[in-house]
Order: sequence, then C-alpha cells, then structure tokens
Amino acid sequence: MENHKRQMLHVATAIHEQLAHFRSTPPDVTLPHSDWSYCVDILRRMRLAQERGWQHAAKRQQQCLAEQLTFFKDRLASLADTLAKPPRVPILASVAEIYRDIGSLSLEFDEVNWDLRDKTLSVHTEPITLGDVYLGPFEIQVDIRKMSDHGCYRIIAHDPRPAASNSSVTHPHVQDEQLCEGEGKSPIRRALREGRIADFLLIVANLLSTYNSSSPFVALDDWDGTRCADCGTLTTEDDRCGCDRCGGDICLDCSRSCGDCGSYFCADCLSECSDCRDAYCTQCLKRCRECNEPFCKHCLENQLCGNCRQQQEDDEDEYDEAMEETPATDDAEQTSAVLALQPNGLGEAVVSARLRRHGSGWFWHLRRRRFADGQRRATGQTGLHAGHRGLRGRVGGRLL
Amino acid sequence: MKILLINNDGGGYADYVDVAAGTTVTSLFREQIKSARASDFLIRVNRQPVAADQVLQEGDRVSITPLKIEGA
Repeated sequence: MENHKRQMLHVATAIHEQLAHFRSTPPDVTLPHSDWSYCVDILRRMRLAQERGWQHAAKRQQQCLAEQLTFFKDRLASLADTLAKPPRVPILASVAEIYRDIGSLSLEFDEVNWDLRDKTLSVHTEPITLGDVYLGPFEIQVDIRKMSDHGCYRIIAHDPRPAASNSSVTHPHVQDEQLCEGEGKSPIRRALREGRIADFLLIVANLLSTYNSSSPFVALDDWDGTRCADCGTLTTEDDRCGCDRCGGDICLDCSRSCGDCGSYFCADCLSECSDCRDAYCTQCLKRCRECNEPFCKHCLENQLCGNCRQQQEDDEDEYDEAMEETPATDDAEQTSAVLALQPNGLGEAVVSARLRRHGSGWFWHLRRRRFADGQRRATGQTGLHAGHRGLRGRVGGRLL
Repeated sequence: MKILLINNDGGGYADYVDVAAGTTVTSLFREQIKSARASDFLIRVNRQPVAADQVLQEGDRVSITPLKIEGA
C-alpha cells in the first residue's frame, strides 16, 4: 500500500475509534440533588412560618413547595425515561467509508492535509468573497481527538482580511476561529456523530460561502470600519468610542464630553445649557423651576436660571415701589377686610402670590396653598383686587 | 431497490430508502427535496459528481448538500 493511502487509513481509523469510543460512553446520570435540597429548604421555611403563626407566609411556602415537588417529580420521571430507553445510536460510518470519504475530499477541496502526530485533518477552501468583500481562503481544521465535542474544528484564515472593527472576526460568521453555525448546526452535529467527515466539511465550506445579513459578528457593510453614528465616517476600533448613554459608535472627532460628569456622548445624547451654551448630558442638566429650560448646575441658583432670578428681583422691586405709591382705595379696604377675617392668626401662612389680570380686575394667585393647619387648599385666587395694572410680585401675608 | 440517502438539508439525516428501478438523480431529488432547485444543492452519488439523468443502482450512496447554509 502506498504511504499516502496508509496514512489516510490511519486517519480514518483514528476518526472511527474516537467516534466509537464516544458512542460507547454510558450516559452521564446526575441525580437532582439541588432540586431536592430546595424542597427541604422550602419545607423548613414553611414550618418556621407555621410555628410563628404567620399564616400568609406559611400558605405561600406550602404553595411553593407543591410547585417545586411537581418540578422535582418531572425531573425524576425524565431521568428514569432516559435510563429506561435504549439510547438512539446513530449510524456510524465504517473505517472503509471514512477512508473513502477522506479520499473524495480532494475532489471538493483545493488542498487536503492531515497530521498523524497531532491527529488533525484539514481542508482548504477556495478564496471566499462575500458581496464585494474579499475574505481569502480558509482552512477547516478538525481535531480528531475532540470529534465528540462541539469545538472540534477551527476555521483558520489563510489570507486574513479581518473586519476593521474587530481583528478576531475573519469572516462575518467566524470569531476567534470558531464558526457560528446557525442553521448548519444540526446537520453538522449529525454528520460528525455519524462519521460522515466529507459531508461535515462540505457543510462547513458551504456555510463559509454564505452570508446571513441578519446575524453576523460584523456586517459586510461595516467590514472596512464601523460608521460613526454622527458623521457617518468609517472608523476602526482605535478611532472610535461608544456613547455612554445610547452605546452608539462615534468617531473621536464627533465624541464630546459632558462638561459636568466628563462622560463621552454622541451629539444626540448631549444638550446645551440654555445660558452658557456648553454641552452637558441630559442627566447633568437641570430645569429651571420657573421657565423649565435646561441649565447646567453652574447657571442655576436655587433651581432658578439667571433670567428668572433677575425677573424675580425686578418683580419684587416693582411691587415694593408700587405699594409705596398706591393710595388707600376701596381695594385696600377690601384687603384689610379679608385679612381681618381671622385676627387671632388661625390658619396663617406665608404665601407667595402673583397678581394676574382677570377681566377688569387684578387678582392675587396663590402659589403656595399649604396653610398652618397642614392642609392644602385648592383655592386658585384670593379675590383680592389690587387695581394696579401690570403689577406682579411676591407678598407675604395672611390669606385664607 | 435500496439506496443510502444522505440529506444534509434542514436537520440532516442519513437513511436507507426504497426507490423504484430506473429512478434518476433528478427524480430522486424532486421526490426528496420538494420545492427546491437542484442547482442550489451539491449532489453526489458514491461521493462522485454525476449527471442529472444518471440512473441509480442498488446500494448507491446519494448525498444532497445545500450550497447556501446560513451561519449566525
């Protein structure tokens, strides 16, 4: 026998022995100890609750125990079924069939190699191009000693053209030399179990020649770089960062840091302070309680922005001036009358109010409605008539 | 007559099936893989590429492998 064929026979025998050994391994039986321990624990809690007279808790634990026991019973039944039924043994290719499979590989692949010392069998695909992206040829290398495991093969790029965004992704469906099998998973597992080595390698090769745009490690559109969410420029891993709020990829030119917390954000996740116009994240901006515009903490004082603070001071000044200039009128008498309603001070509270025009008169709109008795009252206006056009201000007074 | 059919489409399976004498590769494909085009599959008989009208023989090993299999 030629040396080449003798080696092929050794490889076929090694594959057959490995798979036959795996098939003869008895099923791994694990009794559900932890499930039973959980039942014991629930029972202990239930008894404790009963002893202490916690009826509701005891009832809840009893219900929980019933559910857990049902689950435990199902686990035991499933285990018993597994042991009772003879395992479904898949067809296992004979050494001769595996030998013929290996012999046929040269018809399907450019290059077929094996290493008897390392117990590996490998084939090389043609150079693969998906869409417009050249990915180069790949080697599918099978570790015969691991043929019963999921990770028994590696996908090695022989002219690696990895994604710009991730150097470990050499193919949209390969990362760290591991193929994400997708819909190929089941036929791959079956072919491996049955020793159909040629079918297995063909399925993997066909999978490498197919692109699934719905779930790649890196999409072909982003192969040469990830587009910046702000400016759309293709960026490499080193030239971009992630927005700390939405997680979007942004290039270093577009990333801006919040003036307060210092985190980096994309343009959509940053806002400007309405006063100083510096950029801040939405969490660091607070709204003025008067005008409701966003401001940074440096531009807010007592939850008021500069404009609103100024407006408030102006109002108070205007009011003071107006009060000094106002002669005693019927309105003032009316005010006295109202204020005199409770001369003993019952229900007194310091209240801020605004003068607003309603119809022909001006009324104090209460801004705080909590009174000394601790109750809130829904009174919208006091009925005081000020008679000063354009007068607004804050007063401290005794109002009902 | 019995042949070994290996269908790597979907879940994948290998099983012996009865076929009528004179069955060709194309007619077997139409029977087994409904509503699919033969050009989307790699069909091998006894591990060799064959013509579409080749008549199957007793004990043949026919494998049908889709060319497009989507990874994830």
